Amino acid sequence: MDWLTRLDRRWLYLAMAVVVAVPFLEKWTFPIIPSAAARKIYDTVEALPPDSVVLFSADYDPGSEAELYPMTVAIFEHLARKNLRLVITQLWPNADPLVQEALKTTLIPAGKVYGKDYVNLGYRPGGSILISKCFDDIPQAFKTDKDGTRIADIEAMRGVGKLGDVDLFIVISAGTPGIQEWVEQGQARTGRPMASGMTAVSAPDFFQYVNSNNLIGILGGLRGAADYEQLVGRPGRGSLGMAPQSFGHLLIVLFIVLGNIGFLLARRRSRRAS
Amino acid sequence: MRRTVPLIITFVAGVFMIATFFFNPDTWPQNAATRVKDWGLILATFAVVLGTGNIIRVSIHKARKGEERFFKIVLLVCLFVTLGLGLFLGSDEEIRSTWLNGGLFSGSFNPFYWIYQHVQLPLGATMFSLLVFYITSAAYRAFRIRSFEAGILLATAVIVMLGQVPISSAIGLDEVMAWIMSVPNVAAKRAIFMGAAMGIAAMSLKIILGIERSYLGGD
Amino acid sequence: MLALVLYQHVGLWVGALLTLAIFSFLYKDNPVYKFAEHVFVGVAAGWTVAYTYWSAFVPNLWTPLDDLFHGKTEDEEVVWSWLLVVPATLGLLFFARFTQKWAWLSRWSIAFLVGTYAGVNLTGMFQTNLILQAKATFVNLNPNGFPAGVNGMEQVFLYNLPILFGVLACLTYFFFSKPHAGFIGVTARIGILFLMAAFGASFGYTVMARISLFIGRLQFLFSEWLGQYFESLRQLA
Repeated sequence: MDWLTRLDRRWLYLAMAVVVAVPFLEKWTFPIIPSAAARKIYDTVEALPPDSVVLFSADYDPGSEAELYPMTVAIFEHLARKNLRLVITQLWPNADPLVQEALKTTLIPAGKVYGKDYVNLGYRPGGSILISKCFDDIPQAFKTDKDGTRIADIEAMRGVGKLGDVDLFIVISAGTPGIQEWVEQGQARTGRPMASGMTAVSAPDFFQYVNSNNLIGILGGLRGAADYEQLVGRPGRGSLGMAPQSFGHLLIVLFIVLGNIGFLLARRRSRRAS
Repeated sequence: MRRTVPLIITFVAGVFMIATFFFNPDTWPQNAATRVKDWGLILATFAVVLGTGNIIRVSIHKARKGEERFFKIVLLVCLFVTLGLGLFLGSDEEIRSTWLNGGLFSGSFNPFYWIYQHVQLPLGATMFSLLVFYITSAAYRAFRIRSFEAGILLATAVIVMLGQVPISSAIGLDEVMAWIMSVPNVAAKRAIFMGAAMGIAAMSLKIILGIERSYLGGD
Repeated sequence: MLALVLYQHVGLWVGALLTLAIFSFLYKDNPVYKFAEHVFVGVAAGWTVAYTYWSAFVPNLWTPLDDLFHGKTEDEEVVWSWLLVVPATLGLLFFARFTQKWAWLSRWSIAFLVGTYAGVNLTGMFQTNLILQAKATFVNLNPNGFPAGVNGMEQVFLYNLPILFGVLACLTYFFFSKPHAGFIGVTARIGILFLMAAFGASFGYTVMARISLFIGRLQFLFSEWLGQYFESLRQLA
């Protein structure tokens, strides 16, 4: 059993690559039952009256595209079916092309009109300072949309002067600045409802905000994206990723067990020797 | 001038920001604070350029010393080409509002955007995806039940991993996972965040009152 | 049209080769990986500065000053626009760091930025992570005090009470001013168990995140890159 403790790391890498790739290439799928947290977000969006203002902040970059882009698409798909006004902001400089791609497959084919049904205010630096500025005056904080149009001239922004005028915040974030800052400077100060999606790495930190009613629900990682895709009835990259994801998890559990067997055997041997 | 002025600036800026937290929107202190925060945003923009300036300086320094010269030149070429394209052609998918407004390239595809989609996006995503292999290796080599506490850690990790698998709902594991996330996880994270909040509040006060000065550097 | 097709196909190949270059590091460190790594740092830095220029520098500083000098500024904005000279100067002072004689001037800019962030974050952090979280911890512990339709016993004994006890136990563990012995010792030890459960949960979620990122790359390599060629071949056949 010595080989168990001496196994080259590259065999472990290969095993992980194969275990994840095979279900992906074979296009295996599993039935997905959406989590209660995802359903809460879905129900909140469903219950919004027509012409409500949804502020969507895309605070991520290519490093977390695999998890958060499918989530963005699923949420945009839901918003595209509703008669709402969507205001998009970004606290990270490298998110915009991903937002543009998501719009091309959701709001734009649904016939939503830029400037009337949705607006992209683009990226601004500053994180918490920017949000605290928006608390008082969004037009002053952003000044123009992404294309340089003055906010006063944008129909989708009529009556949206400060964060308190927003009916629902949806923040998809990969770290700082992101959900934490939006809760501190936006949700907690205005009391408006906020939904969030984040990388799975950071998800455990935000369950406390659900408990304290700062967040109505959270979508954690690719599973969160898959849940929302199921709810809107548009299975995409999230749902397709669930079978490879599951096999990956099983392999890690197997490795933990094998690693511990090797460890226990080695410990027993060393005790006997001494 | 070297120490007193920065300390006064920090004090005034900090106290003003704290004070305006207690005012509602559309009041004059809040409006004034919004303008002053604008200055903070402008400074944050300069800070981004400063960070890149540091990358350039360090890379040139290393290239001169002959440390990985070829790679440092690659870095600098990529940086300046991307920056130049972005500044001259704008940041949109199609070239439009730029210094070459209405010029030769208007309406055509923007190479700056192409660089994002076909260089930055795959590189960024792949760089982070490497971590799956390291965590696999760590799970095999480092995740040992050496104590009761380690056993608890391992048990919750396994439940959470299996609870994320869609078919886990068949045996009710997803509900156990949901309870772990919303009770022990919430309790521990809340205590950690409360501690951090007190730490950050204390540190912020020390900075504003000029007791903590390390951010000003030596001398 | 041809240019567009070339543009996209070349892009896919570049993306795929760079992806494979990064993965080559898994076998061992090599020049191809190093090349891709340096391309990444260079491109990311260049992109961020150029994008920040257009989305922050232009609307926040350039346009208001440009309007001011061309007399396009509204009357009530004139004073504030003139005052933009202050952050512009402070911003330029950042670059004094690169000189030896004037490096100390950059402290003024840092001081303004640090003071502003400290003031904004202090109140927000204090309210959200301390007051609101404490409020959410000390909640109803009476099983009969819940609205109809809520199982009071379950809510109290499965959720509210364990959270209250867990938070207090963890805080006791973090409290180092008294020795961890006797009652405090036992409570602190229970706090450790809560923390371990939370760290285990974080590990589980981290595994999920890492696997997702790898799946994302598989989707790119097999669906977007190779997938389209297989699709074309199938159509030809």
